Amino acid sequence: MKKGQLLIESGIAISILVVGLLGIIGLLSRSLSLNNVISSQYIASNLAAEGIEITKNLIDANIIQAQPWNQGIATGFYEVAYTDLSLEPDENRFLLLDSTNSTYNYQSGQPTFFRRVIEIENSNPDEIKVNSKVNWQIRGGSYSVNLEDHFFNWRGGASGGPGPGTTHTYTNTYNGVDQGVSSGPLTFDGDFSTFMGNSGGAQGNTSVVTAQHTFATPTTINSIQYRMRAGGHCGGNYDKSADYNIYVQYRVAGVWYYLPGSQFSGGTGDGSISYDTGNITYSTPLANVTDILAYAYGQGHGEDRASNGSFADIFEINYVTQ
Amino acid sequence: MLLNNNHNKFKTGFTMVELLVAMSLFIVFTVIASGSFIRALRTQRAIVALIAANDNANLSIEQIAREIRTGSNFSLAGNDLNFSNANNIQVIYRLNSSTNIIERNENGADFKPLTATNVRINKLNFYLQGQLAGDGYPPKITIIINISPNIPTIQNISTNFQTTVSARNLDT
Repeated sequence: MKKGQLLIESGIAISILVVGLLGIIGLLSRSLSLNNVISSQYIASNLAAEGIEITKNLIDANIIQAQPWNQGIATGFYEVAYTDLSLEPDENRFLLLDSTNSTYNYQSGQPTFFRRVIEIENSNPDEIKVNSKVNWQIRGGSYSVNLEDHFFNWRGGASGGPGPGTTHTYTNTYNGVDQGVSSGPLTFDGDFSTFMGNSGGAQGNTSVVTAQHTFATPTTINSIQYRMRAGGHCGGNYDKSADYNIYVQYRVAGVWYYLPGSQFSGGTGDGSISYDTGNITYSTPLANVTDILAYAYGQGHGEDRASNGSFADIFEINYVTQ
Repeated sequence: MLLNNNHNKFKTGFTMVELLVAMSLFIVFTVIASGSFIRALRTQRAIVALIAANDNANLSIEQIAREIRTGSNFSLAGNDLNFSNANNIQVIYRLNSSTNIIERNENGADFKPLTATNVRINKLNFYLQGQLAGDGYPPKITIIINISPNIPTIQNISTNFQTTVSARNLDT
């Protein structure tokens, strides 16, 4: 055995030991730093899910407010915080962490390394594709979470988008039977002479005409004009009662309100009866109106014979916007 | 003869200096090795605790969010979230401030823990928006959880989670 062999042997043994220990320590420190990355991934996935949920909240709010389901959710890049009631254009900002209430927002707090962008694709009027992306950089690596969700217009709400975006619905029933459009073009065109349609005749006893106008976006109405007529009559020695009901409503944030002074209803047992609203203008501004509805109903209670009748006419209903 | 000579040489034993050097070297390396081994054990314990914190936070957020999504009639009492879930069971989520554990209760029964004892929930906040009927928005609940491992040396490492859920039930 040569001199120094023991030293060399022990040196090799110790170095193998040291390499092994270094491996363990390296593994642990790496898993500690990876834990940091993992925890940022957890935070980011929750923040990305928040972006999807806020968008869903805005879609459902459109349904509640009886607006087109995709209103305010057009194709583009947006940013949104948990308190927002609309999508804001993306400014590529970092989310802030407010240490007093522990919220991630854009208003107050220390900048975090998370950036969130909501990408909307609404090329199909009945489908909204939402991508909620969170990007961040930590420990020299770039990470990103991209959640995708597709929302569909299954509730059948009106679609906005290009074009005038306003819709009219019109019903005309006589004894519960749809009469279709009886006459005249159905337009809310500001022309006070448009004949909206009527219903009525010699046979039967109920006539209903409704005309509804839906705006693409909530609109401020300066004035509404309307002229309607409804009633019923019967002759001979039979039941002579008849009645009518006429009103105009407008809808704000999903709730229908009667236009002040537009409700007319009544009845009498004495032969023919009719009510004509004439030309009435309501000229106080109404904000955030989504729909206008005119309703005319007339009924003659007499037996079904040639001299019984009812009628309901909406001659016109017009509005002037701001 | 030569072999015999060599044999005799080894019989002379180690000198005192050799022995001292060998022993001190041995001690130094043992101390270093055991020290780093203990450190490694401690680090491993911290890692396990941090993983537990992440898992607990994610699990409770997921559970609360899922139940909120199909729930209705949301209200806040202090920081406690009160609502009816999809099975019409009255549910309360709250943070027990003495044990720092998230608790859940059904129809006023006993509160049951949702998180483990090896994690510490520093904050459980709910922000309620759109919960009133007729406000034009579906209920929107923001959940905030601030969590740290329940080991005294690393309790200051806290993670802040936030997510928001929109209730799918539009009526309330």
